[in-house]
Amino acid sequence: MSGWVTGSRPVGIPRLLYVPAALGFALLLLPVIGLLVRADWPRVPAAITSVEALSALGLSLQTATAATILCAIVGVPLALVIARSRQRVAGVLRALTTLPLVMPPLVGGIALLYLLGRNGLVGAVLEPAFGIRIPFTTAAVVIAQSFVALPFLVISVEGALRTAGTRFETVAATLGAGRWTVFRRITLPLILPGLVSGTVLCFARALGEFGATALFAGNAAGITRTMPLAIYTAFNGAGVSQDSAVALSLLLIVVAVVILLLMRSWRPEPER
Amino acid sequence: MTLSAELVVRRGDFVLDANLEVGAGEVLALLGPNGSGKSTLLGALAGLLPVATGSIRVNGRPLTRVSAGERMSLPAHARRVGLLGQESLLFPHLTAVQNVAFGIRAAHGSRVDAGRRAERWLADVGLSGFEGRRPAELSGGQQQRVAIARALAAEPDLLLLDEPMASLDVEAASSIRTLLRERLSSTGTTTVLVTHDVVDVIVLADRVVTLDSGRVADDGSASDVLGRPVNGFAASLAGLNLLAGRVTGRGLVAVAHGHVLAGSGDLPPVGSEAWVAFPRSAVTVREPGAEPTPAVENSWVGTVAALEPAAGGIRIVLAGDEVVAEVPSSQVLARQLGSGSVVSLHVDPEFVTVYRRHGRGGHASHWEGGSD
Repeated sequence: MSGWVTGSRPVGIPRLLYVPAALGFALLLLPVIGLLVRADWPRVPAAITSVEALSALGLSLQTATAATILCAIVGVPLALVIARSRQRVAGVLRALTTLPLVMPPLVGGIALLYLLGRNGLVGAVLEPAFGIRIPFTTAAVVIAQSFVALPFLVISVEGALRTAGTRFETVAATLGAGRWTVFRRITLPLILPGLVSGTVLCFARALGEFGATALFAGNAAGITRTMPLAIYTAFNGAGVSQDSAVALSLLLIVVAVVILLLMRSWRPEPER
Repeated sequence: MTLSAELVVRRGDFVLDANLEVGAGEVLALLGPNGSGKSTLLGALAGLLPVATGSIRVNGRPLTRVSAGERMSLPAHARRVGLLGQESLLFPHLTAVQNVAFGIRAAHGSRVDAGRRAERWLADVGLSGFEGRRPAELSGGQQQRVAIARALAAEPDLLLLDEPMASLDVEAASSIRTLLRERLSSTGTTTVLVTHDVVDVIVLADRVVTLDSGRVADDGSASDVLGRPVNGFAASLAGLNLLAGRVTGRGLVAVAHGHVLAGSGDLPPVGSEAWVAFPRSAVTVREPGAEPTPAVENSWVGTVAALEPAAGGIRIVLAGDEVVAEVPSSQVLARQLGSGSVVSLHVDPEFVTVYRRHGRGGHASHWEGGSD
């Protein structure tokens, strides 16, 4: 029918557009190259294998993983509710969900402090009643990371749900499958690519989170000092340690890139 | 297995108000112009659209019962009503055999057993050896075969088919049609088939219901509904001209614009209202005045309003007249006919069928009696 459309060469893009494209690419890549050039390479191995560096890296990986799992557990259902709501309700829910995206992370940290802090809305109840204190703990790091990273996962999964539509779910229902079966065997597999890319974004955002963590969780070595905070601490310390800040930055970049590549290359196994 | 439905469904301004009975193992063809309510009816039966008032029972089991004091409607997955549409909608992440096994597993049965039964179903639709293929690796016809196997393997009490051959090419449609007839009769599945294709009706259907503007317009056997149509839609589907008139003499019917038609058939009593039907392809074209028409009956003189494509030729539509002729394109070429040409149309009385105007159809819940 319209085979000539699918088989033909693309029209191509206007040549002029290559200029801003190259500029954009340079904007993203040149700072990293600057970092590589600036690094004091002979001292890099020592800096990145120091106890402080490894402790911060370990904490970062643990908290970012925990935050990503938390986001997936609450984010997929949230995306499902938004995608299946009526248009107007969905619009409101979506706007509220993306609030942390437009909010400076520092503001998010202050907001979390006022919610869960000693005198906060919920914190004032938690501590006397259950003896639970959240601010300035590792749990606070995970909460801060989840707060800023959750929108990425929700937006990505919700988009996948909209693309998948409800037709396959309807067919599954007419074949006798109940809601859980449809969710487990049809909806989830269909949105898996969107879920994977959402999880990648979510993890990356959690790994890089600084502002909300600094205010809500603080900067205690081994407890809340994740990589970004360790880099900040090193950079703001005596001038000599700026080198180790650069080395730590490189380490964080390499780890992030490796993890993201692994996650992206992962493809779901066909169902048996 | 019997379907018995009395439904009122509202969608915006549109109201579907129809009663439908389908006997055990019967295949009912549902015909009607676009917007007549066919898909709405299927949606309500499948539990995908809310019913304003009415009831749906299959095998005596109530699926929907909505009245002033009651509001019961089983969800789609609990109705045992299967649905197969124009698109096969195979689950893209599952292989052919997994698609078929899905319904078996959803309904009952262990995984291994479902897999074995699914393989048998695939063999039944002629797809042995295709078990491990993904939907994207199958042709349109093969996908529809898998979809048929999947729908039937779930053993629905009622199967709804919504133009299942419409998106296939002629050859694939023909083989799928044969397969459906075979599978539906061997499983004895009670079926409602929505179609626009008269071949589907002839090959698959035991009975035909036509819908018009949300109401049942006709209900009967294929030969009644298509052979002696009572509405323009069924007539045009069957390739017939259908005119309403009044009997003025033995085999003579006066229709619009003072035309008189001679024909045979029931020969309803003089003075009664009658339908006159004759094939479009039986109408012949003459140049006006070239040869004097011996009888005034069965002739029309008029201006060609449009030429349209028709099966095996060209359809001539006269301005201001209901009569349509379908002639081989060579005739149109030989006479150099076009919009504005003046022609005389004629139909031989032997092709004209006359029958009573109020014999059957209407808002009947059940079709009683054969040809009256």
